[in-house]
Amino acid sequence: MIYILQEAAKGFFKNKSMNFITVGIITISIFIFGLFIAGTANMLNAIKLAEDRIEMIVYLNDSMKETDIQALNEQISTILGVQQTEFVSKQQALDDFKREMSENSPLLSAFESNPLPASIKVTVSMAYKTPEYLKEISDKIKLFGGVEDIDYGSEWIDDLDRIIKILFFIDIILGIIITLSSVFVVFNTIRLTVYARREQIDIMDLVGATETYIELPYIIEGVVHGLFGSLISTAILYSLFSFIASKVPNVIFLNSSLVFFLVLFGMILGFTGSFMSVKQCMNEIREVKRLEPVGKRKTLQRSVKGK
Amino acid sequence: MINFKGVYKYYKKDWVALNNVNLQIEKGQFNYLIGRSGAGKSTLMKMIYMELFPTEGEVEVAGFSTKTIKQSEIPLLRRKIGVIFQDFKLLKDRNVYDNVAFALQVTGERYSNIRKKTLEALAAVKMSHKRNSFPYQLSGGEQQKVAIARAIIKEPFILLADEPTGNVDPEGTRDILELLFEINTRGTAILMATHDYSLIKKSMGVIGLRDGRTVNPDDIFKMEFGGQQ
Repeated sequence: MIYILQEAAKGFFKNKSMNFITVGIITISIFIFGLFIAGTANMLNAIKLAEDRIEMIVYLNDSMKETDIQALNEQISTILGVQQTEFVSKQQALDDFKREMSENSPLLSAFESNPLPASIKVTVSMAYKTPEYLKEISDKIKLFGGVEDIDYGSEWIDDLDRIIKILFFIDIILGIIITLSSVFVVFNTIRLTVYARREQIDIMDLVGATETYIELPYIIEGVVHGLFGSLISTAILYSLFSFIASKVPNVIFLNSSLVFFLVLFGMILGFTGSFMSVKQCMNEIREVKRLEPVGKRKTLQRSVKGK
Repeated sequence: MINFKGVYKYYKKDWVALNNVNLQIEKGQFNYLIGRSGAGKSTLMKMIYMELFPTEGEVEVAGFSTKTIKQSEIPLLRRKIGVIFQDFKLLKDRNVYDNVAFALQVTGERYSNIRKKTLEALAAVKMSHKRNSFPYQLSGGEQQKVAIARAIIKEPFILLADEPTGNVDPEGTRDILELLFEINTRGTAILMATHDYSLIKKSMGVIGLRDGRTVNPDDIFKMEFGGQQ
């Protein structure tokens, strides 16, 4: 085990330029992947903010009595998907309106009496904020007496739903492309570092080292490459998002579990890349030895020497 | 100890590297393996450390058979066999000591034994004084001695030498041969492939190979030198 750790450390500190390139490429790959994850997290945050604003207002008939309103309020509360209800009286609606429009609005002075209807503000549970459920809840409420009108912004909810579906589709495709290209680039970069030491692998195989002994130093090195690459890219991403957040409101950076996932992803990339590379390198060395017509090779060497 | 039973090896359909080879090598023997380039010498040697497997037939080495050995058992077999090559196969970025110790480090030898055994192996090939040198600072003969030290450090029952003097000057060649004889007197069998027949000592065994077949070595000498040995 001491040898394996020594070799991994030697490999990491000896080939400085190669390690620099490997860590650099892993950093770039994970930075792009992290950018995608952070972008997705911000997209989800934006969707949540938009969905939080979805609320249903049930406008009531002016002729409704207080007891009827209370009964209606209770009936609405029992509908599946309704989280909370809040009665807003005509006076309260007027006060809210005044607050929003400013006291001395000429629009208000045009009316002699309060033109605003009383209403029940219905908060729908997050899971039911889909166009279908909202319509279903709205249809159920319409069946109750005393309901004048219901408003939940059905048109823009349909648009929002369509946009969310398209964004999710693009996000998944992008995610697959970025993940595959990261794996491909990292695998090929690590392969170069492993192939640069194929002579050593060949000798290890010759003197009777087990596959574990041959592979482990490279795998540990790959995991360390992945760890460094992901830590550097996470730090860059954090600085970038802190800067953007200072300029643009509602921008979030990855939460701690996503940062952990990003670092883990880097280490998995390093592990898989080095594991596959060293296996492939060993197989190729063995294949070359098995298939190469030895005599032909020597004849060629001799003829070159003879010249 | 080593037993070839009706061994055939085809690289391609029309390329027969070994053609019905039957031979035995016993403990402590010194054998030369002679034949022209392409006669099948390297192929035969690779079958001993199971780098190659017969297309037909069977090779038995120290209780392992090419028919039954598992991939995980091959390292165990190779720890019992020393191999040296014409191109030395030394690690250029490690000094002499590290190159020799490498064979023990990668096979899980106890750390405390590695230094002692490495220095012993270097002393055996008379290279202790160059233990801190790097391969590029050594002559061909010296590099081959380091390769021999690495090969014998695990105390193998046989040392396979594939054209060991191919890249070595005449003086170095003499040293290498003396070293191989010395190792052999300590009980290690030697199988040395060569196409330089001037190196052959008459008292030792000779295995002749021509076009993948084992032949009487005299036939090879006759062909090459018109019967003069």
